[in-house]
Amino acid sequence: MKLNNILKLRIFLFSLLGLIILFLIYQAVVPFGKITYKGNACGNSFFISKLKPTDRTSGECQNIITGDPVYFNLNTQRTFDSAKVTVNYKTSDQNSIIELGVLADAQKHYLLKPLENKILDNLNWSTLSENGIYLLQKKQKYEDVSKFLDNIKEIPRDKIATYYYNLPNANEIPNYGNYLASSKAFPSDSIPALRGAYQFYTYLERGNLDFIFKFKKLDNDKNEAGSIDVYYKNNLIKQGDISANSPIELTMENQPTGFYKIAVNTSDNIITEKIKSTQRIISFINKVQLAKTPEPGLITMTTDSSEIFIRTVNPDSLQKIKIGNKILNITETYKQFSQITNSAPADIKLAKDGVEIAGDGLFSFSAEALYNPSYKKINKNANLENVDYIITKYAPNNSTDLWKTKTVEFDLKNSFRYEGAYGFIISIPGLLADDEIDDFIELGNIEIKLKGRTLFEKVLSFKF
Amino acid sequence: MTQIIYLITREIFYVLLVALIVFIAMEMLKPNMVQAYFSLNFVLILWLASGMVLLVSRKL
Repeated sequence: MKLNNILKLRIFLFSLLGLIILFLIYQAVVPFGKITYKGNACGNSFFISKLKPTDRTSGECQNIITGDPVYFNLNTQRTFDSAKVTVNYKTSDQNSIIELGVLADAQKHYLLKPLENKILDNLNWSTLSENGIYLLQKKQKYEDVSKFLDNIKEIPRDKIATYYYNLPNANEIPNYGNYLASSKAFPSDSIPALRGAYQFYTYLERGNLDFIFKFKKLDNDKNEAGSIDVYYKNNLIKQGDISANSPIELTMENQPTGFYKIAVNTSDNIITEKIKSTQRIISFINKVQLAKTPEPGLITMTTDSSEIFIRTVNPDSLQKIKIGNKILNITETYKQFSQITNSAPADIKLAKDGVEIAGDGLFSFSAEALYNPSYKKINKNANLENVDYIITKYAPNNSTDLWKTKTVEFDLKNSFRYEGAYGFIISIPGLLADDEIDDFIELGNIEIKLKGRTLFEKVLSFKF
Repeated sequence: MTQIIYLITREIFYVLLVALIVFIAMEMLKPNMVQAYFSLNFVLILWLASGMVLLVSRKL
């Protein structure tokens, strides 16, 4: 072999290596800020992981979802600003709602978006759309969405339901003076010890917002705390640190009338032993964790949730719980039990604490403390008998195709990226892996189109 | 023929050695930059195999 030929071979091999290296650098840097990752449930993609946990999936490729929820990760080499997720799937037609979400924060909150809602798809109501907002009317009264929004204050609140559309919360409670006269003593006295993070609404009619929180650490060796955030009309107006050593006083004088949201952000290592307040409305949003105490006594709660989910990790907390007129038997630890409420609001009576109670509405520890300032939201148990209008960002689609392809867009700037991965969730409310019903969602291909800053924009914004 | 195999294998051995060093450096710089597409074990096995072929063909 001539020296010339050896040189040609060497140049060829090193050029090939150079091209591979350039390709790898290009894929990692994504200089133009756009890249598409495709995954197949049966494939072995590094970028789109397989569905987890496997006890909620079945099939050869673990791509048949039999339990809610399931998760997958998108591993990326760099950060992006937005993601367009296209999912190809087939359903057994027994579950009305399918949602896709992205991990929003370290507390494992997910920002969900609708993929399919059969309740809206199958409604034979008149539908209007304007700028991606859909208005469904039982009897057509408004000619366009903006006219409906302009006249919304004239429509009784219980006649309107929302689905992935935020209408402003109620600003005030009508006849609050009468309400105060009829309500009993301070509802905060009946709040038992709570574990971990929670959020609640409180109402103030001009005056002082006053709360005293008393916290305790379960494990003193862990150096964990957290914060208390106060929101008014979705704006953060005050933030305080949590300390387990002394009571935290949250006082805000001369505050305007309206609903305030107070969020206690902390880990499960922190127990709120006591909440003291003169406020009459204290309505916990979606979830409360009752801490395990030596002598809990009977706990009575009120909720406007249409379905209640209860779970415990304490063998001592296994019990029969009365929800409305029905009994829910909690027979196993680490298993979620659910019960549909017959009427809203419904009472929940527990003999033991140490359980986590969740639902799609609000919870309070006395009937007088419950007031929901939000509009009714559509969920899988939605009763639309009294509803005349539904406003949503979901496009109703009555497709009869066996395999459906839907696209959802997420803002990744406000999402949580952990160890180079964005977390995604597929939620199918009511899909249980261990029930007798043969319902499922079979996942085909997933395509994720990512968009972010270009290399040029990154260089321009670089600061020394 | 043996000489040709020897010369070709030698070139492959060198390029795989450089590839392995560069890929390891890239992985150290940004994890999963290479492994997202192929395993470094695969490159290592190829390099070792080419080294063995090189040794055998050199003796012949």
